[in-house]
Amino acid sequence: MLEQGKTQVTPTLRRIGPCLWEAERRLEAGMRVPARIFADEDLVAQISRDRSVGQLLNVTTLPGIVRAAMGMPDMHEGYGFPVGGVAGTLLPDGVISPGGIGFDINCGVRLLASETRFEEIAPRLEALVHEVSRAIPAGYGRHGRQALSRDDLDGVLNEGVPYLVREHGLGLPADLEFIESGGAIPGADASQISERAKTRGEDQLGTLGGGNHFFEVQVVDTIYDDGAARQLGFFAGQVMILIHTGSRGLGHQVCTDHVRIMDRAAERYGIHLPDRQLACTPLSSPEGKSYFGAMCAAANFAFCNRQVIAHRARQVFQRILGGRHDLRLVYDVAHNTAKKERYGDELLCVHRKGATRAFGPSSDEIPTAYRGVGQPVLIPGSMGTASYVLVGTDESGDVSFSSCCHGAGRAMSRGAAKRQVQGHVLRKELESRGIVVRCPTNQELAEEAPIAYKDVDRVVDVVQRAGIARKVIRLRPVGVVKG
Amino acid sequence: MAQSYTGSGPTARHEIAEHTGELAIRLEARSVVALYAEAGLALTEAMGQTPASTSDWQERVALEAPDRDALLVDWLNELVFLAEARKVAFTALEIERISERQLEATVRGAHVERPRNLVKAATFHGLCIAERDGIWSATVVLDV
Repeated sequence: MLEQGKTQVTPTLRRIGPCLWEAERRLEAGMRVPARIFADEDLVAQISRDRSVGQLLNVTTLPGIVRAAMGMPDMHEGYGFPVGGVAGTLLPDGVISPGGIGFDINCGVRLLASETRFEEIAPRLEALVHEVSRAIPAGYGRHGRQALSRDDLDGVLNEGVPYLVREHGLGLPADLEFIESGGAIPGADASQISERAKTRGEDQLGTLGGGNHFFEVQVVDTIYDDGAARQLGFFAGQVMILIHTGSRGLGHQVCTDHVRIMDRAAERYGIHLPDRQLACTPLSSPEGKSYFGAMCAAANFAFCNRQVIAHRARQVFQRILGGRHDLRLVYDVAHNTAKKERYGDELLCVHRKGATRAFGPSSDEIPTAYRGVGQPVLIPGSMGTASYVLVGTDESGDVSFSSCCHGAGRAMSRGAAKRQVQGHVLRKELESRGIVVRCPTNQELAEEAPIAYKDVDRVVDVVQRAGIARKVIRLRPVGVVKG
Repeated sequence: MAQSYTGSGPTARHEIAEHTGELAIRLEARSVVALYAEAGLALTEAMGQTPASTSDWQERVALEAPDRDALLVDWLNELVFLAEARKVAFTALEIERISERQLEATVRGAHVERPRNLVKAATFHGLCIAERDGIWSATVVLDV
């Protein structure tokens, strides 16, 4: 039996490819598969400084896991899974683990494209960012303007973004195709969400939350692939909006509730784990089905949260810049989810914790307009640094269950960041670079300083070299509303 | 924050510990009840709540869990829920009864206009309540 709370093996990583490292399977340690990490020498050194590799080894012990537990190049220490961890379990009886998805279910990003060059809006940038910060509640515990009745909340949970568009006119019907799973994940079941979770979520729709969540105004500053950029509707100097937030307190409570349920149930299924936070049961079990229904519903709530924020942003753009300034939804992608996906003959439950999908040009799960080019893969940098849009490859299915990193990835704790960076100095530095910043406190600004993150350029290069996705454009920030 | 608890534990302490992506609270106390009370205090600090002195809200808490570690996680997650759902800053956590698997407490607080709660949840990750030479200790990773 595995011992709770102990890392079972000392991580020894062996290079097996230009950007791939492996800890081989060790049966005596309970590993069912090897662990693999996508990284170059520098990133693997950074990743090895915290406990994330040990956490990834713990993931290899999940019942039903196939091929490998995978770490993305932005991987860092989390709880249960590392952040940037990916694992597929073979259905019907492979497990689902709420700790493999995390508390912020479907924390994700949404990219909106204007048809405007930055020079046209530069004189109004300050007003634009200011109005966005007023229209979109940000910061911990802030509640939104879109208080929901229980019927509406159930509609959001069960039917996702199509419900908001149809019943409340929030956003456009054309948006739906450009949201992962159409903004409504099959299997969502509001009846599996506790009253407590609904209470936490009922006034939080349309809010950013705190931590690393943000709303950014960005500009296309480099195009790497002209053809793909054209097909995705990008041009140099184009103003874009990137929104990063998730399912707020509702999602947090869903995870809390179901970790508790599975922690108590795992023993009945003969499941013993090295970390209790990996609590899991077979997806086919009553507990597994209940969590899956609740998790999908919470994911719908997160899609709707970003839909409401995008709607508010559109209103602000029209009010400040005039009617012709519209914002087109490029793509909305989830970070923290588990999804049923087919790879070859196998139906898997693919857990992505701080990781996104990166489906290739042949996938029938991506918008028709993007067939032949690939799913947009959105990789935000740290605050004040570049973000990237890539497109997934067909090879990514074999490489990483079509999974990609979700950002630069933290390299430093919040405390360490605050000791090295003074918030007011950082604010001035960002402003001196022409970046308009709105943040509740200088302290919270310092916690998200670029120095606290890995080098996003290096992370994105590894993604491309590993064959997971290829670069299309780079964006630089000009306005930041920090959550 | 005012803090009281039954039991004989005269001292307890905590610190907010470093974690790459999250936060951890490290606890030490001379009794189990003091450990749990100190955990609530540490959580309140990690939440970044605005201190309040007078209470205008209180709620009874009764929890049951399979073991001591799970009871501590449940206790902290109960406080996270109450802070966010009731929109309060805590003023007093009174643990009235505790056993290995059960906890009863009264939580008092003050309603606040903009409640701050940096903590999403408490986790089991690496948690192991231990006793050595009369000192109880635990480290809890919080998702923030």
